[in-house]
Amino acid sequence: VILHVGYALTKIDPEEAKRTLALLAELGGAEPEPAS
Amino acid sequence: MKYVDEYRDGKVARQLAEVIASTVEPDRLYRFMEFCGGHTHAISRYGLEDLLPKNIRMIHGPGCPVCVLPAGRIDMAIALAAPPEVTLCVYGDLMRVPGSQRTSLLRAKADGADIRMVYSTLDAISIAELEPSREVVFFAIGFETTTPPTAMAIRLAQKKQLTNFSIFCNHVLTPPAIQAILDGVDLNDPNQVALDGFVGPAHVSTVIGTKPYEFFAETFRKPVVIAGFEPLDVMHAILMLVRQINDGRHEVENQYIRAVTRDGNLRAIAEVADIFELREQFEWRGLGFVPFSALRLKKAYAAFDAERRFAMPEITAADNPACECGAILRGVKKPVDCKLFGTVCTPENPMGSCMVSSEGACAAHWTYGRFRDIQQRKAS
Repeated sequence: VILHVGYALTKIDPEEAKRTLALLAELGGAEPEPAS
Repeated sequence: MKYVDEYRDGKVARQLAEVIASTVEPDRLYRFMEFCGGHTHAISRYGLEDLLPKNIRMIHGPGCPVCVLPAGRIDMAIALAAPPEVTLCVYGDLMRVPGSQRTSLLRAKADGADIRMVYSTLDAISIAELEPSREVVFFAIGFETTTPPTAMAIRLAQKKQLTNFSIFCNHVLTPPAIQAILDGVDLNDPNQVALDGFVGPAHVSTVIGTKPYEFFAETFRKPVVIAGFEPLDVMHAILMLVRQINDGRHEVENQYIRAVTRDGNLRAIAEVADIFELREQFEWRGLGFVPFSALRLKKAYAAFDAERRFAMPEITAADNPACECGAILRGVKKPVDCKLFGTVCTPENPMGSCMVSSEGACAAHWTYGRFRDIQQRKAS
């Protein structure tokens, strides 16, 4: 979750988080981590 | 930490920097405002400007709640805390924000006022419960991220039938501030900021979603990319902005897909809409009076509204005339353009609000960026 002044604002979506990391790796020309 | 460390990978950041460098058109200038203090902090802390081509300029925006609070509201809070029966609860950063005449809440506390630092609205509720003889007022500040917790506190106080709890409401809104900046954009006026795109807020957007920015992208023809607060998020957003500009697009794009949706946190939005209403105008440090840019409690919650409860008179006060916080918050000047920066104004002894919070442009530059200046001077 993302916390702000003691309250949870929202939950991190793990799938979208992996998608972003894969995209970043791809942009940088590296092999993306397998989305496990 | 999961979903944090991965977005701080230096190797990927350097690779992204190479992609950005090969994507920018060499004869073009890219001027991007990062609205949020969280982004300002990340850019300074991780030295992102060193990774960017020279024709990308990052301009710090007004998205630091402590920075934009005008001196008059601090003066109002100091006056509010003066009666012996009042306990004023504040977030820590606020303590050192300068009011007028070199006052601050910290100095008022030293003079005997009962001003206490809290980490959450719930702490203020606990104080009100434990000390029923005190008039406990919570100094509510912040953008759309901190408004829902204040709304929750009001709900809780109502449920617990607390009659000694109220809030001094200073909650402000991001979209009207972006509008005020864009209204002032003038490519030919050196006193106004020139902008080509926005790195949009991370946490604020988890609450309000990406929809409210569509108006700016469309009306002002400026691209907006919502970005997370980690360094790779910011680099990625910059690349997305560069691509939009190269393609002649002006869209709202969401880099922070792991936390932000188009509609935002509907429950939080509904709760805030139930308790708060728009003020016709509100004063911002740097932006002046901005129409419909802040919230106050609805009449149904008047009992919890310190401004009504204590008949607080409105105070407007001038900033220290030598302080350039106003121009820095509008993106017109940089911290080093202020003659107070690093001389009499430091985080230990802030003269202006931008030097107080770690999200403030001056504090971020003092803590991290000034070392870059020294290296650049040596190099030249």
